Amino acid sequence: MFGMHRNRVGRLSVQRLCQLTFAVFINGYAVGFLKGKIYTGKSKAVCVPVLNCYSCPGALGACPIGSLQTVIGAKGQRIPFYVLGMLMLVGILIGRAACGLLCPFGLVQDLLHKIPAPKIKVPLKIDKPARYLKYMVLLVTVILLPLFAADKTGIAPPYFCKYICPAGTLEGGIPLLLANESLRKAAGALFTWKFFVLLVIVLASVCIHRPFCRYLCPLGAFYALFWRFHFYQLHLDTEKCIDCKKCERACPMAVEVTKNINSPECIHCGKCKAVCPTGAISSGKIRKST
Amino acid sequence: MMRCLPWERQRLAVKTKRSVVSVGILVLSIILIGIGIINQEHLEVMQKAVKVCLECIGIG
Repeated sequence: MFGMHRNRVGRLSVQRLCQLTFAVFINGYAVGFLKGKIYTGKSKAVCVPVLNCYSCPGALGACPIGSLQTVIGAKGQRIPFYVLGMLMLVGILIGRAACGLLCPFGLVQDLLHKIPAPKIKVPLKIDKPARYLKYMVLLVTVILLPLFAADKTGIAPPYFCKYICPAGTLEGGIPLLLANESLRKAAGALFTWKFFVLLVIVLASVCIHRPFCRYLCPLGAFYALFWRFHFYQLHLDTEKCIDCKKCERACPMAVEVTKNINSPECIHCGKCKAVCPTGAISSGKIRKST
Repeated sequence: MMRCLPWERQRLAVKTKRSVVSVGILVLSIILIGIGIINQEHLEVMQKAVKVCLECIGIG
């Protein structure tokens, strides 16, 4: 049986269930939210596969983008073998399925988009070039600036985290400032700027689906580099496809499913698969038949 | 015995090449993680992650 109600567990879609479970799993230090303190256990040596601030009071692991900037920007800069290896491992195993199925900030944007409000379909002329912006963010703020723009101490600040990352403000900044008075007193112009960035992304998310993932996320950009090679691919059976384009209308990332089902923009949310009336779309490891 | 058409053979070759690259990247990523752990980079990551990152939360 194919159609809208596949891929559901009770009232929740499989995607939402994965997102919620993973968000709770990687932010399981609930005491941190009450005390306004962060977790300091050994699991913080492990990078999580998604954009999840390590200063979130509940975070049990390290943010890969923050870690990457830390190692690149440290004194006596070195190649960040460990973080790069972690990112490549996730990239090659599941690619951007990490964005669609695991990322808590993706979940936040998905939920915001559920708010009833006029929805905007960004014109292709703007949308296509704007998608390259996230690669620039990755190159400039995560790699080049930490590499070449160190401060007097010889250590470069994490530029992306400092000036852009809305996940850090939402997951780390706001809960810590609410629970910790000394941090609240220390907040100044930078916090105001970061709050403004978060606000813009929150408002944009109500009207545009996942604007941060589409245009700004450096982690999504990194995973997108593996789109041709990662093991978790979608398959379109051209013999079953009736070209109704339901999949393309359902795709939140505006992927041209019938032309290029394994686009670097695909976050493997499974919406195309769920709406396909003939079951022409399947997912799994690389197959020789596609 | 069934014989492959030339275009099918070409497509299979591309798929095989892609699979080889995928496995190569997988192996490389595991090697990089290993080198990183030997260099104790995971401890560097932990050191950063167990302190409140003031830049990340917007304090500066």
